[in-house]
Amino acid sequence: MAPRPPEEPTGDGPACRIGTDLWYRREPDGTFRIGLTDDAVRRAGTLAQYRGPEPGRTYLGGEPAASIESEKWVGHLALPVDGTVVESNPAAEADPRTINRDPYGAGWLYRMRPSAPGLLEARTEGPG
Amino acid sequence: MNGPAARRGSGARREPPVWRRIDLGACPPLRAQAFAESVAHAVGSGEAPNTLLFARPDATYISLGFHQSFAEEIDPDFAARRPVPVIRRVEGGGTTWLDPDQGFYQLVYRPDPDAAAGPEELGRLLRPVAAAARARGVPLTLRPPSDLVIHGRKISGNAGGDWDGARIVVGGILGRADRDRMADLLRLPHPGLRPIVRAELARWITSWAEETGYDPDWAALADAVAAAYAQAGLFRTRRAEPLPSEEAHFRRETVPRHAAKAWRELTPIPRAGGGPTRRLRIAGPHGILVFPGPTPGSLRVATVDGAEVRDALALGPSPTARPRRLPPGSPAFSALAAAVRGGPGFD
Repeated sequence: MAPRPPEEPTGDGPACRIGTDLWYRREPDGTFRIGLTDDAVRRAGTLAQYRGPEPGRTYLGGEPAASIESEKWVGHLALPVDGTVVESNPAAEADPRTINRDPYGAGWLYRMRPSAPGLLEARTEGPG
Repeated sequence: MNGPAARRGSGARREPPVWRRIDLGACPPLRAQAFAESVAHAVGSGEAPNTLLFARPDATYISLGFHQSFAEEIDPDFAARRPVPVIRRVEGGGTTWLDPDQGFYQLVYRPDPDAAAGPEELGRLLRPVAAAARARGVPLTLRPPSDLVIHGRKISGNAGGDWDGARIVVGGILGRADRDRMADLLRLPHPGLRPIVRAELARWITSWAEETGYDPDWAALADAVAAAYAQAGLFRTRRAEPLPSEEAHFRRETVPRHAAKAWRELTPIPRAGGGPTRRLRIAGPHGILVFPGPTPGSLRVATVDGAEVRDALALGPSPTARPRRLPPGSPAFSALAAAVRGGPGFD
């Protein structure tokens, strides 16, 4: 599955990758949209559950904030950097298979505002 | 390649690592279910080595999977009649009724960064449990990803999760299976579903006593499981007691977290429309899917093996309505089968 632009014009550039599991894309309002890379989705298998982070809450980078479940296995997803969650994707929570079907588009996980400029960009390891 | 490993050559047999073995014995439900979370804290931080725990609850309770909500899962009348503890575990899977006739094994370990979690890992860690039962004359096999079965009927459910820097795999052998309580505790959208759930549990769930005519010797079975892990080359065990710091963590973090209403009850997430109104996995690929019927309050019910409908039933809106079988090949059966195939099924 090749990375591709989201279905709606929400970003101003291609996705960037953090580690092996997460991608991010800057939004016009200065927030960042976060999702799982296709590699992470493939390793996870068909997702049965996704519970996103709490909108409005500030998390520390590395702090578990969201969770996924497949094949009776629960994995926790940490925010990549310190910041405040703006929105969790209700479509992904309502039907987690959306993440499997379209990890770079409709299956994004959450939007966040890092606590300082440049934090996420400093973690970039390559294209999403 | 340099060093001793190279000098030994590729044929050298690697000694399996040594894990701690902790036998908690019969203990209160929260300790039996969740002490492993405090062990995970110690294992994840490097304070304790990888650990194999054995435990049995000394009282009945209900365990919810990590993502399950009390309001969606538990029948409110049952909860009022049988006020047993409800414990939301950190591992995945569904709602279970647990009692002193069940024996738990729990593996807590630091993840190998090169090994992905999930079905493959579950299989690797569960096959020795099946082997231990077979060594005692009970023919358990693994049905991937996570069930141990005898002739296709589940005798052990298992689940895993990442927690506090460690991985936890938990499972339990059903010494006896109280299927009526398992059926009664579930929240269902119609009373007429209860007998269907009971029948499906009877079809797909078994127990040690049912298969052998006697109860398991839990201590001997624990020894056999530990020996099977060594035999499989995964790890040897050394008996130990919990660390004082694990006990302290259990008192200060795990017990209060589980007592918190928000943790125990978990707010339900709105689900996508168009799917089943209730999805009950009975065991592995076998489950029950409930869809809205053609008239207000009516339901269509499918007993499902994987994505195939075995039985299709109609239920009227009256609480006293009895299920009516939909003939295979009928338009109503076909419509239900199509709805089942369009969803996640029970693969």
